[in-house]
Amino acid sequence: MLALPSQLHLIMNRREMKRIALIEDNYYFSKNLEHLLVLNNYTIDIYRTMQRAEVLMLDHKPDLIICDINLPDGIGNSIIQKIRKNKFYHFTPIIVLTGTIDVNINELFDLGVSKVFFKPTRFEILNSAITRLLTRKNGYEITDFFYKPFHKIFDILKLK
Amino acid sequence: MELVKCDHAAHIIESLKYGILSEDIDRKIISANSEFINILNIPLKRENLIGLDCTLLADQVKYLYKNQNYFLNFINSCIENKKTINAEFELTNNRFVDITYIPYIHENQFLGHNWCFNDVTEETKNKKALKEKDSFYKNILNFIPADIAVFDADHKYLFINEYAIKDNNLREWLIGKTDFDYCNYRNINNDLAIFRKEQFNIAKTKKAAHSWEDRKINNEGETEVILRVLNPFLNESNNVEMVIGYGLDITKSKSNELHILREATKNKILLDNLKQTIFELTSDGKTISLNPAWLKLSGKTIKTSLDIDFVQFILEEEKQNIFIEYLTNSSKKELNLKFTLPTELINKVIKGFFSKTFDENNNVNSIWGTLIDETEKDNYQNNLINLVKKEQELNELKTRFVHMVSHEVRTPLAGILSSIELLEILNTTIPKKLKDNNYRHFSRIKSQILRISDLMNNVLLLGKIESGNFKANIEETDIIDKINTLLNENFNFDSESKIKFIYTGNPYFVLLDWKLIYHVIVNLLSNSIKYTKSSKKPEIHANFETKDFKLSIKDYGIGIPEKEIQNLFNPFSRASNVENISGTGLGLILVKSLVELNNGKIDIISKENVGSTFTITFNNE
Repeated sequence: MLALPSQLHLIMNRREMKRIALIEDNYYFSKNLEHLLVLNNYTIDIYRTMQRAEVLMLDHKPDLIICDINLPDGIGNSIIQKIRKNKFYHFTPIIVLTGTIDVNINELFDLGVSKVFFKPTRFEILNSAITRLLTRKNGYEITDFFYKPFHKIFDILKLK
Repeated sequence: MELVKCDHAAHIIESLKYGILSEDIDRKIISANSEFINILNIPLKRENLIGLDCTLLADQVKYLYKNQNYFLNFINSCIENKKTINAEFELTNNRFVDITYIPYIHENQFLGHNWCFNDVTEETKNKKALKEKDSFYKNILNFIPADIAVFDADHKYLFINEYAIKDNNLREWLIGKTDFDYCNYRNINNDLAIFRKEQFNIAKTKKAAHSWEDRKINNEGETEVILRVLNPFLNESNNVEMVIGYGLDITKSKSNELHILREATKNKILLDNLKQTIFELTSDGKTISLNPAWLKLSGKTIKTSLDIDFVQFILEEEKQNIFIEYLTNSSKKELNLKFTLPTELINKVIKGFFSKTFDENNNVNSIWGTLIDETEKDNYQNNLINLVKKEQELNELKTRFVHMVSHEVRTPLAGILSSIELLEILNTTIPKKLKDNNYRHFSRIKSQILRISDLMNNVLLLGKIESGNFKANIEETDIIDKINTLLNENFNFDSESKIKFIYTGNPYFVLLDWKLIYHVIVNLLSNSIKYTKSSKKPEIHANFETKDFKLSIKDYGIGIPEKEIQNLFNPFSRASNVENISGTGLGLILVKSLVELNNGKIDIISKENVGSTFTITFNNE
């Protein structure tokens, strides 16, 4: 095997197992959702508070963030703003999963949220949205981070 | 005739200031003195006159006299009567001569005519001037529109003017008489005279002017008021020499006085009965008058509140300062001040108005003002403000409650739903018979969860709309694209039986809030599917017309009984033929509210067991 650059290694991992960050403080729901997502081949990190998310997400950069906007240490849009401020997550798609109906959806979209779902949402609908968002992201990522020659290498190595 | 005597006499005659002309019996001039020539301006010498015939001369000299006939007549009558007589003549040169005829009779024998000419021009002029002055003053006194009388020290009339007595004869008669004489003459009783005499004596004793008001009723029955004044005139020894009396008609000014008094009384009555407090202050802010309303306002009597600095009635120091500034600042004419008036019971909120009045020199004369009790109004205002605050608080509370409930119900629901979904997945590993049962239950649980969720959504949304806070964000919408997306996302998963979307006319962008209409269409389509027993799918029809845009959701379901169609938009109402199909009864009312928020209207056409069509119309004008 050729010596692969370390970045490529990570990409390989990513392409197989997408990482989803779930920022939600309700225990049971978050556990269930994790289970459902794992069954669909995603890696999940659960963060119960904004503080924890801010710090720990840096170590495990997610491909997608599912976020509730009613956290113990943060209210509403400020959570999204915090995420978006960080350059690290600039391109990470965010799905907002919320229990309050009094959300200003337009504001959320302006802040860069990709989709807003109201609890309870059927999992299959949520899942299809996740898939759609990640496929798109995939496309962006390749063109952003790689030169074209590497496409050929991937084809050669027959990586999915 | 003795020579000496003649010379002496001649000398006297010559020196006299009289013109002397002597004639003999035949009217021939014996002698004439120089003065005679001077007076008549005769252009002849004395010597030349001697011997001239006066009869002829008279005719010649008559031109000297203004009234020639008069002169001639006089001469002739003198000659005839031969008696001493004199008369005055005006000459053509505007001088006056007094001619005296002296017949020369000696021892009963007529011996000649003598004429004595006296130049009385000055005297005549003086007399005339005097007369003119006299009549001048008389005229003044007569024309003054007031009774004027002059009395001597014994109250006898010395003069009375024409205004007082028009009858000239009576006027003349009255001179030297008293009022008593007058009363006797007029045959009226003496009361008037007695009264007048009293007043006269007062004036005489006072040695100063004394006046009184005479009232009488005139011919028209109106009261006339005359102010009568007696003014004693004192001589050098300070005794009353004359008393001048005059009477002035003051009826008009009296009636004015009365009028003013009446008006003032009216005003006072008005002020006294006003509910508003009206007051007057001196220019430095001390109270000089207050109307009765003050007592009610302040609880203090007017008496105790007079001559007090108004500042004492103002509780707040800063308001006191404002008032003091108004007093001292000459450029401030008016002041509106809201302050607190401390009283025994409660402090009253007062709205005060102050206005300075000025005299001719622009100095402050006084300050008048009004006070209005605003305590009640203030209280009402405060109450109102409090109520509004309370309502706002309640609203906030309600909103927070709603949020909390929403969140606290939804999150468990999400937990339940996700557990069910996991169970469904885990279900795949158990035997088929159990699997079917399980699936059935899982479906029920899922549908119930979604039903609770739907109900909550509807209730909360309806509540929001009812509270009036909800506004539609109307924009131009590509309705065709939106509907297609909607169908793909929510309904057309099964590629075999899809909900058809048919549109007619020239498409244009419709003005609506898609977020709301999305909900409407989803709701109506869900209904259509729910209430359709056959496999025939509902359809969406869109008609783009020039006047309006019509969107119809048509189904081939159980339909609605005709009588109940209109009731369907009432909350919790469901048609009688729904049997066991579940529904909250809130969907349509929400649909209607949302449609109306978008300035549209919704109609239902339905036939039982055939189908229903819900049509929404949006105006395109």
